[in-house]
Amino acid sequence: MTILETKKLRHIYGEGTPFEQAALTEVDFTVESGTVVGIIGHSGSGKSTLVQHFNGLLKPTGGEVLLKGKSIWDEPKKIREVRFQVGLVFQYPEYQLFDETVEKDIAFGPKNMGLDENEIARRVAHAADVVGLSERLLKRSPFDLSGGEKRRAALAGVIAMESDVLILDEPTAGLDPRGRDSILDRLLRFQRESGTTMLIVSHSMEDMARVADKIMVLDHGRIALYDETGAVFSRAAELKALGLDVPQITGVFHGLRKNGLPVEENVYTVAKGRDTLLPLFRERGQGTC
Amino acid sequence: MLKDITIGQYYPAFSVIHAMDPRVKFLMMIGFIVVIFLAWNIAALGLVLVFCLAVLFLSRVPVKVYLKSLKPIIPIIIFTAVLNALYIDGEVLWKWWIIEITKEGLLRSGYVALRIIMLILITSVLTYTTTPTQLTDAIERVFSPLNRLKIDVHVFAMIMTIALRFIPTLIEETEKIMNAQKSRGADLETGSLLQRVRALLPILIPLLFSAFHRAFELADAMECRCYHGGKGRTRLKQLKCAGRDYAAIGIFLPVCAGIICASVLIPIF
Repeated sequence: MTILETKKLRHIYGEGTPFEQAALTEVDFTVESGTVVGIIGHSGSGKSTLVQHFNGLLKPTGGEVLLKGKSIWDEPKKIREVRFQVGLVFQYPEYQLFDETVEKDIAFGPKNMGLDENEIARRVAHAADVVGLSERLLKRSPFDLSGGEKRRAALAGVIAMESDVLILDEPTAGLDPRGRDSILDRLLRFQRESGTTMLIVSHSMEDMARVADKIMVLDHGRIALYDETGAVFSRAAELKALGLDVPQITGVFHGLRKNGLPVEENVYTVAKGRDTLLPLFRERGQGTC
Repeated sequence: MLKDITIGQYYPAFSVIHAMDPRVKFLMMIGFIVVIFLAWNIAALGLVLVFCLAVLFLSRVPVKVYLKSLKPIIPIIIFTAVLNALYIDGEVLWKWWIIEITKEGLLRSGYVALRIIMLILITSVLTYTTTPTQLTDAIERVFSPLNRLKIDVHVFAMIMTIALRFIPTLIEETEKIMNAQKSRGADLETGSLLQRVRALLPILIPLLFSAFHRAFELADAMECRCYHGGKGRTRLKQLKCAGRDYAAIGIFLPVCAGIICASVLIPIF
């Protein structure tokens, strides 16, 4: 089932001024319910502009955005309802923290939705559990947390809204490798358990390979590629031409193939790489080792 | 949107006005504002208008940009013009109930409107053709005699430079925070006054927090580069009056004298 769709979406910044600039041109895009879609593209390709259309922060210059088959701008007064259904976490979202305690801050979204107190408490506890914030941290001021903890608190603030679609703009940017892996794992587990549709913007091909079912490549405000993760990463030459790259492990396998090894092109995680190589070793190793 | 605010916006171009010494420009602007208020008749205002248009033309900034700077004050112009038209006694041209419109009133409101427009245009010339750094530099030098009165002019100029520099940054930051809170369902548009003020807290608190954070970082960065105030500080770009500045003064002073003479010698209406 299609949950999110854009039809001929166009966006022009500063239309009618000398500073006019087209950010998106004719974007046709559909997202199936319950999938994880990665959005990649070099800086300035329109990724952030695109995701801000999905929850109605930006209004299209042309075309439309459909949520569950209904244009989100049909009733402009109900745009807040759309924002409850499509959660958006910005890049470096730590700056959105403001309340006295982490707990109250996470409750900000659910409170705006007009939920009752029990439900709010349940959602805050659940969201904190998803991102791995301990009970003790919930009572602290968000300004006293470390960088990584702030990131988790900010993520929890949007997760607590339990929206049908969750959009994450570079959720792991600026974190250390362990923090990055931990947050990605937790987000992925949450996605599997809740069936939330997830859109992730990232520059890290490794992260994309791990989490995305499908990948969309944006270039100069147009969709350059939109396909299954493996299919996108098998087109290394095109990605490189767009200023992007494939995961390192995919690069290795493309190299192996070039050198005559019978391996597949769409290996994009280390785990799959291992599973492809080990049988080969066994097959050939018997003679040489 | 917030981005439409054009305080201290510099418009890059190559023109005589851009190249002039900012001190001369600043002093001339102040002088011209005084002269605008001294112009009390058609002849004098005509001279003001001609001079103003000549400067605008020389600045090579598109007319469209100047019109944009006028846009926000249109209500003020209309308001003052209407008030003046109604409250000046004289030869009645049109009358309805207690509303009287007089010839003198109409003339006066025309003058007032023209004067306000000139004021905005001439100050816009200064901000469009002078970078904020040049401008504060000029202000620091112009007011440097105040140092004798134990007022640290350099500190004030530095505060002004920093403030101007951070206006766009803070505007961008505010938009970012507003978008993040809107995504969490913050409602900024509806509700009673009290509710709306409360709704601003999730935006103001992070904004203040980051402004302080930035201030401390900036202070550290300045100290790392051995900033210790204005004492003994030398400049990379020395302000120097060139031939064009003397020429500008040479034209400006007679024009001012002409305007004042016209204003004094020719009767008011």
